[in-house]
Amino acid sequence: MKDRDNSFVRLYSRTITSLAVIFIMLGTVAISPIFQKVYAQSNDITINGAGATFPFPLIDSWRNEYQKIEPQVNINYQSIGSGGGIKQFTEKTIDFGASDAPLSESERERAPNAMHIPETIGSVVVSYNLSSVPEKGLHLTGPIIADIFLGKITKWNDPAITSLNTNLVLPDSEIIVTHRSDGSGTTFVWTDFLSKVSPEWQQQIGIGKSVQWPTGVGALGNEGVANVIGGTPNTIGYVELSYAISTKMPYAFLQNQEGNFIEPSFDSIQAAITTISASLPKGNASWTGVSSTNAPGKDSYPIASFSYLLLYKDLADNPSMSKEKAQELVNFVAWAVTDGQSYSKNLGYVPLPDSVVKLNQETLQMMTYNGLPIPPTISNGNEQTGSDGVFGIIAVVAASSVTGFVIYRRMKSKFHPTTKVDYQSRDDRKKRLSLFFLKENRLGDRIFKVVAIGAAGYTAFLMALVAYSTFAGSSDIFAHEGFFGFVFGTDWNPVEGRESYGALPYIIGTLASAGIAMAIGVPISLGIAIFVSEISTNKLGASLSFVIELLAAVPSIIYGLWALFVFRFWVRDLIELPLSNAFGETIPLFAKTPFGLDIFTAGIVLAIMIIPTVSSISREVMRVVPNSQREAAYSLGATRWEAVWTAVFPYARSGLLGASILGLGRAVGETMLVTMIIGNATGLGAIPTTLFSPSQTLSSLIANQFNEANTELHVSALVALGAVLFMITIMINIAARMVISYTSKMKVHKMKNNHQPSKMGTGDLPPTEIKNNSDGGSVNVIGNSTTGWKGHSNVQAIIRKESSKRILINKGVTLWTIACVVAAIVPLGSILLEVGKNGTSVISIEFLTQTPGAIGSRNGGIGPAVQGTLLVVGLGSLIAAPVGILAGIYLSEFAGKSRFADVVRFLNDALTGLPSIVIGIVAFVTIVLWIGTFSVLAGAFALSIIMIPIVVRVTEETLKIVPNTIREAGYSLGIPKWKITLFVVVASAKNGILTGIVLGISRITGETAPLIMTILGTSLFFTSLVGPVDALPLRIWRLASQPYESAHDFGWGAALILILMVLTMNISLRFLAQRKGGLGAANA
Amino acid sequence: MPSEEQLINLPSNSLNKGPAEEMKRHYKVSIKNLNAWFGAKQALKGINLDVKENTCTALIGPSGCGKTTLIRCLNRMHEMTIGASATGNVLVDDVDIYEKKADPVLVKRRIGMVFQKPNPFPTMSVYDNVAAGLKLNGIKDKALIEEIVKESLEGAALWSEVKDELDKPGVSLSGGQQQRLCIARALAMQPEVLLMDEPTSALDPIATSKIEELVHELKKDLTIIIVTHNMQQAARIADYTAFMYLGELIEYGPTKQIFENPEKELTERYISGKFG
Repeated sequence: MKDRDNSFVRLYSRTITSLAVIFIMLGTVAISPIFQKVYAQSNDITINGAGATFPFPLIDSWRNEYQKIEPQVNINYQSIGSGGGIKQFTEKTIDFGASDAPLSESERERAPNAMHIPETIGSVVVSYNLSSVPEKGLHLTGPIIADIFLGKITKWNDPAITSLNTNLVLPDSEIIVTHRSDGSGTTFVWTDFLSKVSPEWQQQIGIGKSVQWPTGVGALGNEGVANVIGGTPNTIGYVELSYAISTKMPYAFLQNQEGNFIEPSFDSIQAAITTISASLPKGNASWTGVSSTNAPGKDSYPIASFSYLLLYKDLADNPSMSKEKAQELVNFVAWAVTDGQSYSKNLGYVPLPDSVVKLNQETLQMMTYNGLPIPPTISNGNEQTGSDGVFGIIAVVAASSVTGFVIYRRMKSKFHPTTKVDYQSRDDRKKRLSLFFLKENRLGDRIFKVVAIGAAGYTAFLMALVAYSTFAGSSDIFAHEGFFGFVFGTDWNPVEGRESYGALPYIIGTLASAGIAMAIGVPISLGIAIFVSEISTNKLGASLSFVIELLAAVPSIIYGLWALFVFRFWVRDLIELPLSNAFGETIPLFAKTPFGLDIFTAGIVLAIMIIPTVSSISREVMRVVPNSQREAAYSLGATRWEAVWTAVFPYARSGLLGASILGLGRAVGETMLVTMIIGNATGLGAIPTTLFSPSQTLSSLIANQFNEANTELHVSALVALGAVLFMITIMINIAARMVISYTSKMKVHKMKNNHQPSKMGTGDLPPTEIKNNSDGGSVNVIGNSTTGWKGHSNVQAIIRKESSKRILINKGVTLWTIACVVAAIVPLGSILLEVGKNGTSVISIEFLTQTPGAIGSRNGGIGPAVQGTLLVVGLGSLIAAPVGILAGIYLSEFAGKSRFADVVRFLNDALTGLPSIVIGIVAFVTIVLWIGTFSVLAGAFALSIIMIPIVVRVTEETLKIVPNTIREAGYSLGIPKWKITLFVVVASAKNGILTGIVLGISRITGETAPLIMTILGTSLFFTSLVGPVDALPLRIWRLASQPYESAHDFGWGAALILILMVLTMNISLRFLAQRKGGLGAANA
Repeated sequence: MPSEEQLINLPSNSLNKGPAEEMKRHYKVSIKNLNAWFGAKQALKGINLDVKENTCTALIGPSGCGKTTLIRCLNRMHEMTIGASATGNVLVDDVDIYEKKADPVLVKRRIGMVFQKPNPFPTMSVYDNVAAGLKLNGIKDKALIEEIVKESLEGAALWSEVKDELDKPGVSLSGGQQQRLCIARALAMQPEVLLMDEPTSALDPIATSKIEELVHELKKDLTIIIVTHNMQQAARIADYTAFMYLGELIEYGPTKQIFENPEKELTERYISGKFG
């Protein structure tokens, strides 16, 4: 009896041990913030701010300089857009906000007692690309610019322009207008100016961070506008002054109120601000309507504007603000508006004039904490020893692993007595076995089933949560416009007071771009899958599929940059221009002069982006098709292609459909990439009239405007776009399922009714052959039938003719698959080349481990981003992988045809098409607002929602293909189902599941949009689970939007690191999977 | 405190109670009024059949007669198909495996099964394939496992062929070897009854004759029930033969009698090849 107890314990000891270790690890991680607090210096203070993109380089250099003066104060400012800044400031998730526009009345109501502190001055310049005017100095007036942007002046040699520039030669070509597609303070200032100088503009368009542009191409960020201007002749657009200065773009001199043409410069802009500074309100008053554009004064440049810091008058309004922190915040701002101004000019910012500095100092004197004034104090120069987040993490990990290990050893020694028993006879052994088996009850099965159902339920819950939040968030706009009014409306005007929203153009844009992407991407993916699984030798195939999976590792933002800088010119010059030249006149589809920023380019780049997903899953699905299927086809004399077509495809049909749906989901849900290259038209102009028209998708519009949306209706309208996308995905899904079940029914039907002998049979000769024969023969039809040999030779001829045709088709298909592989590898090569070329120079140990230096300098590194990515993606996939696999196991092994399973599948598929930014919004509303700060947890939660559906789908598909006989073999040995599932079925399908996980991790590693809403970003190392962290895609995104060469190099370097990280993960996961085969060969 | 003998005779230890008491232990397997369905379609109709210990019983009949369904009912594999169900009693050593308290998983540990097509676990080595049943059922004693693996491979007449290749994947063996590997895998569980579902239908004549020899050997220790399509095979290896037709047991008796002097005309017509 004693032995039996022992063995029972032994049976479970490993499970218990692993559970214990996991709990201890989790526990340690959970208390790590406490750890960190004890460890970190008690007087170390981090001040988090977020908002406008425009002042980011300046505030970032303040961060760097201020740390030298006050080492214990860490300033963390993240550029998320003015609207985002106001939103976060209102929600009190940050310590200070920053905005390029003053708070509107409605915003002031939501954030009462907000103080405006102008911290720097921005200016917008008009830039252009004219071969005849390569330098600055084109003269323009406000009304002329307004007419150009209204689409009324369309030619460069319009008399209105030439009369102002008599010394210049202007071409007789169309003016291509470009504007910001994303909501931005720059656009706000720009439209503010245009409204002042043109009554027509004011009437038709109005002022806003996003407006309904009557004409032109939209580009993302200053960077995007500069790129369009630089790469497209005859364009005109507007960018920030600091951007134009550092990138040396040509800019126009503008006429001011007094009729002088003024060059934008520090002096002319400061002059403009000085003339209005006397009329500025107090810091605690309303600044709504304060505008410094079109300022009076003979030397004033007409487009200048403040950028503001936002603080609560009583800093204790923010519950997470301690008194010490409040004091440090006031000190920092006081420093920024005085000494901090000296860093402006180097970065292309206009320093505040003295009058405004004085106003700010008065404002700061008004600040209070719980009613008590806290005026700025002079620094007492606290010394501190360096606190390093990395060290803290190492300490936590080390502590938890040591604890885990010690406990593991103790348990092991306790539960593993080393007594050996001899087994005398067969009967004795039989009894012993029986006794062992006796003690095993069915608890394991029950637990496993409950866990699997739980995972599926959790998945369903997440999906339902996202769906519910999306639709709940849309209710405002549906109430305002009516559901059908919104879906079929064509207007999109977010300007306050003229709000009107309709989604139809973007629905069309989404369907068209995704359609192009699928039409190009799916056949190429299938070609690759066929090549890798059916044609190529094992080694070549394996390395090829590895290389193609690399494409999945490239974050979409890098695709976007590559498409913007490289690929769109290929498309324009190699495909679009020839097509347009050849058919532009005859086929309306190809009309319109292309410049590479249109729905066609977007479709192609999306196709490239979905290829790795679709081809990897298709490959795995095709690989598990049993060989007997192929052999059956070959035995009938089928060519390789025919075997694929008749045996492999039908067998793998549902898996291939699943792969395509995942690809489609990715294509319709993509935000950043599309935004960069689709041209971003709004309103009626977004309905593509030709293949080469600029357009806009539902996802890209959300990405463009969400961060700056500042009215509830606008936010609701954007969320409703997500809801519309959700519905579209669901409809496509249902349609795809119907098509599949219809075609499979058709086949059965056909087979049942096909009693006719086949064409190849002797009884059914084509009539032409007989006729030929009788012509050649001498007498009559009877002669034909008697000379049976001739008929026979005819059959042979047909077969020969047919087979040579078939062999030709087979060769063609083989060539096509090779072409597909090449088509996927060329862009990959180009991307890697671009990233490698630009990124390798900056990579060093410091680059990887240090915090960022001042923006624009070449100091410091991206350490926090590397660390943050590891943390967020690691935690996210730790949640998603087990949940996804278990849910997939439930669907494949337990669910059968249950309703619940159908619901889970349905929600899961629908969710793959939801843009990640919507998931970011959900995570923000649930986790961030609940905890009260941005955090790793929120980021991991959001990423896990994105990853789970991929893992679930791939797991289910691969498990389904494991032959049932394998399961039965397991059952027949009396092994509990959960063990069969884990150690036999899942083990057989592990390559496919692993592909799913790798794809999932690759996908979330490159995500940007949801991270902005959940982890915010920071320049500091990780300190706690409930504070902002950084991530590589965020860092790349922010570096890329800076006007500095060094920042771009750092961005490419970060991209290279990101790709290498995904690559390493990919390789090591595969390596691990190869080592740990099945039950472990170590026992043999 | 139940005796060990009782414990071994799982799933029920109601050995001395109720109707079981009336049935004497003449038969190893005793099938009483067994009915089976796939959804609404009845595949077995009131089967009664008794199998003696240490014999080989063959189930023959035309395709679709229910012989595979019958054999799959004997270890409760049948009901694992979605929509499938069964009623009736199957007594193994006078204990009903369809009794309420009987655990269908535990039942399978005592009744081994070999399938139509060889189905070794694809991710496992030869060794692990044989050891899988033990390991996954919680046996930790490596010495014991090693001993059993060797003995089972010997029992399946495979040891001499694979003893140097135990680490190779099970699926890398030839078809006949794979099938014997599957037999070894079943033997490792020390079953008392071995069910074989057309085990040679996918094999060549040489591999087939090896399996047939094996059956002769194994029935010294086990009770074997085999489904076969091949009447010569039934004649060669079976002590008893049951002829089934359309889900019913038509005739059952010693093989010689069934083949040489069947009582039913239907049997005679099938045996002589007039239909089937």
